[in-house]
Order: sequence, then structure tokens, then C-alpha cells
Amino acid sequence: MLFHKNNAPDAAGEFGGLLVRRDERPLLYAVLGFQAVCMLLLTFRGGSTDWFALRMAFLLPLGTFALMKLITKFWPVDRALYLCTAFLSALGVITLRSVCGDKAITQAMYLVPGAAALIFGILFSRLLTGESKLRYLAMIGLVAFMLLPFFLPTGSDSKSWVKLGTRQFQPSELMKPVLIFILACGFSKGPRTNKWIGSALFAALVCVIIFLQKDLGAMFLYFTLTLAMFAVGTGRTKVALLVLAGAAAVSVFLILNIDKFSFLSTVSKRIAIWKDPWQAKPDDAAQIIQGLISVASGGLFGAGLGLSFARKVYVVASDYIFAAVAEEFGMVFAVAVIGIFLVILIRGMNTALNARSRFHALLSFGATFLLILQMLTIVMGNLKIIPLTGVTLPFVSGGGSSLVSSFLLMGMILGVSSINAQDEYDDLMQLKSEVRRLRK
Amino acid sequence: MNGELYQKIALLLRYPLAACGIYLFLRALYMSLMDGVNAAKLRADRFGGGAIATLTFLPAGSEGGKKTVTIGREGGAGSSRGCDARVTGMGLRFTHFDYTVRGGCLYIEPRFGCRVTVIGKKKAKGATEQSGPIVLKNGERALVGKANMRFEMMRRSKKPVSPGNLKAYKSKG
Repeated sequence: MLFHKNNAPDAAGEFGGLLVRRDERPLLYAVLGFQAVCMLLLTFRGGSTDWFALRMAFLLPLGTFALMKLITKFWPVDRALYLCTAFLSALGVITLRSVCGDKAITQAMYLVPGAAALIFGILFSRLLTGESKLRYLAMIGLVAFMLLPFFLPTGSDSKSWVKLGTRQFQPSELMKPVLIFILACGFSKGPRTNKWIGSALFAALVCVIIFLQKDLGAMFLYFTLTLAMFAVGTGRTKVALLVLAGAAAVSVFLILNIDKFSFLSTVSKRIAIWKDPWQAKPDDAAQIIQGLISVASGGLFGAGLGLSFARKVYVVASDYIFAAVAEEFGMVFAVAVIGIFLVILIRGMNTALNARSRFHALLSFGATFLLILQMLTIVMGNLKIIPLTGVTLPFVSGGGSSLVSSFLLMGMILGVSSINAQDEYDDLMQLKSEVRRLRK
Repeated sequence: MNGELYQKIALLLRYPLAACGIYLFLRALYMSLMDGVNAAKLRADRFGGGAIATLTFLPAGSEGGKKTVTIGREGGAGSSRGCDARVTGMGLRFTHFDYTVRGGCLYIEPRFGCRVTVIGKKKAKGATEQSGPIVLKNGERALVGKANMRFEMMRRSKKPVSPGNLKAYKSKG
């Protein structure tokens, strides 16, 4: 229900042990201050005044504060989690303005649908249950949407993008929350095979479609997410580990014999460059090498906001945004950014553990798992620990579909956290009435 | 602003910005950890995550001295080692009764064939035998087998868990 019978802010205040108001204020001020200071600094970069940065110096903190007030007016959501999201999304706009210039305008514009997606995510997780018939519609919609790149013009070789006019979007990005919803419905019904087999087969079908689109990064995410939700939802950890081991064996086999599979030529090239970028052709290895130079030249405290050369890195806006952050703000700050994701992990998992229905627990778990998996994949890719995939850093990387999808995932976690807070408040009220009755 | 001045300010601001990032991380982490601790304390205090009450047994005759056991939110009591509250005495079965502590009261579900008799605070008024769920308020006593059992909620610390839930404490009185 949209408006709970117990006023939500009161619920949060009354049950302060879980949602402590006093704690979040310093965090809020720090986030707002960070947004304003960085944008004000960028305003005076170069000879002339950057009016976009000046506007954003006021709009970003104002928008963050207004959205928090709006959301918490109706639902007792986890505010710390929201503030972490606001910090990361502002960091994305700041870094893009500093490194790429005009791409920050698009990114800032996408924050509006992102905020709408956040609210929709909260509503979505509050209104739906594991028994919702909407999952069948979601299944059809997801497959239809994923098949779009086969029928519409694509913007790249990987066939994972769809070009509509001047705009491009990635269906696999937007469909992540939908897959989590479908899997949460399927795996929340218990460990009996006939209950979950349909969802597992559906996820396998989706993975095959993504594989045919040659979007191996997305396939890795979808596959790992399905396995993790399966293990948590059904409790069949051994089966999940066996499948994971099988997939790892197939991957190793493919990597060792990659020359024999022509359709994996791009992957083969990427892996070869990743193994030894210094021996590869300069044009091919430029991205990895410049990314590494970018991270290294930032040092501990960075080159200074607006003073870096991260713009030289190929596709810095989406693939190498972490390298840009590391160069602009330094490694200390970059570690703090990873730490913020760690906080999202802790709070998201805590939300899942406190959820009272298996469906909501899986919804929160899936969304948190996906966000963290994406972060690990892109950060390790930027640092050359693993080959780079086309995965984005949630909330920070440039790209509309990625940003909206990430906000939708966060909205789902926040929605579950608000349900938890209200459940605990209801418990408290019940206990109070029971004590009152017994005293009589 | 000329380029040189901007450069100086940007270089100077690197340290506060890095400090801000670290502060944000540590603050959010602290909040997450403290929320967990607060919630655990609150649950232990309000919903019974740990020891929240005591059962004091005074066995009949010369069977032994007074014995006090601490109990959590729910569990079983009896002479078996597997019981949460283990007490031995005449008339006490292996698992004599199951209990739940809710709202400052002890709800007792005697096992089949086991007798629990509420005594009440004023013994002079006589005992009343009940069947089905039995409720003991704080400080009340019951006869369990032949032992006299007294239920007491543990004293809550005067200081609230955190100022955030001060209101909840006050409202509970």
C-alpha cells in the first residue's frame, strides 16, 4: 500500500534502534558539501565560468535533499543507503564533467529518470509479492526486450545495443531488475524442484540470448546472479557450486582453445591484450595501458579535480570511470569509493536478512549482489586483475540505461528496508497493546 | 579565475576531498555496524535475543537449595540436559513446559500430563489450577511439579540503548 496506516516517519522515529535519525545528519551534510564544493571548483576551471557546473553546485545538493525528504515522508527507507547512492551518482556527474565535459550534461539529465526509477523501485518491492501474476508478463517482456537487438539497428559489434534515433540503450542493462524479480518469485517457493525449475530454465534461456549477442560481460553477471539467488533461495548450495565449477571448466576450456572458435574472436583478442598489453599493438592496448597510467599518476591524493589527463583513456566515461576517479581524486579516495560499496553490501544484506518474506529477502539479496558484482568486475578490470568487460560501475559510470537500472535496483532494496521498518514498528505496537491488556 | 590560481586551489582541495571520502565511508560503516549492534540490543531487550528474565526454583523439601536460571525469549524448561532452563526436582519431567517471554510476561505451555499451577503474589488467597496457556506476570510464582518457581524480568539498564530510541523507552515507561 502506498500510505501505511502508521505514519512512516513516526515509525522510523519510534523505532529508532534500527533507523537512527541522529546518525545520518553528518553523513547528509558531508554528501551535500562534497557535491557543492566539487561543482563550485569546476565552475572556475579554465578561463570562463562553467555555468552548468555552477547550476549543478546548487541543483545536486538540493535534489539530493528534496528526494530524501520526499521518499522518507512516505516510507521509512534506509537513509544511509540512499545517501551512499546520492554520493556515488554525484561523483559520476562530477568526474564526467571534469574528464569528458558535455557527457556530464546527459548524465545529469538521466538523474531525473533515475530518481523516478528509485521511487518506482520502492513502490515495486512494496506492492508485489512472490505470488504476483505479473511475473509471467515480466518473463514475456524480458525475452521480447532482449531480442530487440536482433531486429533493430545496433550501435556496435556486440549486438547488445539498440539504436533509436540518436540515442542508444542496452536492453540487458534495463532488464536486470526484471530478472531479479522473476528469480525472486521462482526461488522463493522453496527447495522442491518443480517450484524453481521454471525460473532456472528461463534464466538459462536469457543467458543464451545474451551469449548470442556476444555480450559476455552481461552474461557473466546474469549467470552468476542466477546461481547466487538459486543457492540462497533453495538452499541447494552444492548444486550451485557444481554448476559454477562446470561453468568455470567450460570457460577455461574456451580460453585455452579460443583460436578454434571464430565467434569469440573479440574475446580472444581482449584476453591476449590483457595478458600482456605491452606486447600488443599500441592501438589495441592503448585503453588498458592508459588506464593503468591514469590510476598510477593519480598517486595517493590525486592530480586535482579538473587537472588530470584521464580524458585520454579510451571510453573513459563508462569503462574506465574508476581509473578517472583514481586519477582525479587519488587512490585514498578511490578506496573510500570501494568502501561505500562495501557499506551498500552490508546494509543490503542486512535488509535481506531482516526481511520477513522469502520473496523480499531474495529481492534485496539479488539487487545487492548484482550491484556489488558489477563494482568488483569493473574495478578489477580497470586495475588489470581480470580482463575488462563492458560492465559499468553502478551510479558512477556514464550511460543512461545503466544509471536508471542501478537506481531501480537500489529502489528495490530501499523498498524492502521500508517494509522491514514497518514490520518492526507493527511488532512494537502489538507488544504495547498486549502489555496494556495484561495490565488491565 | 586564472589557470594558475585554479591549479593551486584544486591541489589544495585534494586533501579535504580525500578526507571527505574517507569520512563518508567510515561514517556510513560506523552507522551500519552500530545499527546492527543497536538492533541486537533492542531485540535482546524488547524481543528476547538473549537473557531477558530469570526463573528461580525452590525445590520442595530437602532436595537442594534455591536455583536461578536465566532465560531467553523462548525455550523449554525441565530436568533434561537439552532444556534451555534445566532444573531438577520432584515432579519435574524431562521437558516440563515450553515458555515464551513476551511483553514482560511469561507464557507457559505445559507439556502433556505436566502440571503447572499459578500461585500468584498473595499466597494466602490460594492456588488456582489452570489448563492450557498460563501467563505469569513479573514477580509471580507458580508450582512446577513440586518446586516453587518465581518469574522475574531482568532489570533493564537505566541508560537507554541510544538517544535514538529514547522515545521508545519513555513510552514504555
